[in-house]
Amino acid sequence: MNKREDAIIRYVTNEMAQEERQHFEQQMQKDPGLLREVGDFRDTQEILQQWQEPEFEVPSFADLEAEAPKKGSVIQLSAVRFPKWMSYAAAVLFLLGFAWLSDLQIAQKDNSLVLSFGPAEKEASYNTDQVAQIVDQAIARYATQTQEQDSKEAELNQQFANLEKRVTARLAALYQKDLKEIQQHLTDHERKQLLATEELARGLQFEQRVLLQEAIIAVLDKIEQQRLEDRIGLENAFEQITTLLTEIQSGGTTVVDGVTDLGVKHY
Amino acid sequence: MSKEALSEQLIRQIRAGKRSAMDELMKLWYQPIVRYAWRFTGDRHAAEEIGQNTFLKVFRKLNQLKDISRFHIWLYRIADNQCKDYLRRNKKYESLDQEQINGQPSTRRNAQHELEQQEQTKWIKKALQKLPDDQRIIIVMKEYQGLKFREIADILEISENTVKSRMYAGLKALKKSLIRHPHKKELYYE
Repeated sequence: MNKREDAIIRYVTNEMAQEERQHFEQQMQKDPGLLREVGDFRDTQEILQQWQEPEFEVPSFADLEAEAPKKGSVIQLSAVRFPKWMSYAAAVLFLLGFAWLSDLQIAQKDNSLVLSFGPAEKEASYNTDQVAQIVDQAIARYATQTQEQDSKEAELNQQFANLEKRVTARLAALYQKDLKEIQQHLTDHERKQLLATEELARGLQFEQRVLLQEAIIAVLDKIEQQRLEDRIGLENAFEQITTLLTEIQSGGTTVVDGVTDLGVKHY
Repeated sequence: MSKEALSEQLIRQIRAGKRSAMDELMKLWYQPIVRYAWRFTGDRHAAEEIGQNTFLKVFRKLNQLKDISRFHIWLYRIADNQCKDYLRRNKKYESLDQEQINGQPSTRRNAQHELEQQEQTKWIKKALQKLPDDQRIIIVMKEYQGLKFREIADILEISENTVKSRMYAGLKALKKSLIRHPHKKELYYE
């Protein structure tokens, strides 16, 4: 899409800033072709607006929920997942609350903790050493669980890293495949030029290399658009390639001539 | 308050467990989404089904939405995927009866005028049918849903330039089929 088309489409869809809009309107007065094209687009939009929209009845959430099992899905209202420790904290709070509301008594006698609830005969004693031991065991269990979680996390990270490597390798393979596909679409002369371009690219400045890379991607895009028989996409790809190559050329290299040929000659 | 800001507020309420906020959210977005699906598929029943499936998915996955300020983008993305799924499963744009074309049963008294309206609607619809899916989707989002190019680009996960170039190509193609049509004059000067 060139600048003119970009401006037209932004103007007719009201996505142009006021100042630019005024400037564009002045341009239209000087350019009858532009005025006609904008007018045609406006007419087309006006016609499109004549297709009236119907009203649709909005179902309630209950209707949707009733439909859910038929469609094999379940709606869960609970959107927040609490971490596990919060359930423990909730349990402790519940016990404390229960103790506060009931007549549960916690006291320390000599070397024991005494928990009494209701009549005195239900009183139970725990040796503080035993309690300490239970607490220590709980802490040790927690530490083991944490270690397990850490090692699981490390394992997952490792798996992820492996997956990333595989994906990267796959992408690289696909890129090679794309290159092969490009080469299938090229004449011998163009293929040689592409290879020469890649060879010479090593001597380019960083910025030019980036642009060249983009140009190559645009070539890939062009091949894809051709496959999809998307003529507009193809035209865009041409334009993109041409723009990029002009930019590279302005950096003082002749390397890109080969790619220019690739972009224009083939179609 | 903007529609987007109101949606954010409702999502917070839904996450806090308020069921009625779901109805409110549907009231806000159901019509635009179903209309979008209707324009895209050309089928009223399909549009309603797509709308319901979209909202089922929305409520099922709402807890996974990280940035609630982008809810409408996410919503349209789900609806768009549902539309594409539908078109994959069904032959697109099957022939429609009149009720489907106009979207609602006839209530007008002037039969002649109504007939003309129906003819024009058919003609617009036919012109849209001819467009490739990727152009039609953008025309519908822009012309009928009023979305910005940036928003459409986000929904479709393509560049803004691609959106604009498809819009341009779509309008250009529509111009050819709509403005050259014999009904054009009637449309303008009736």
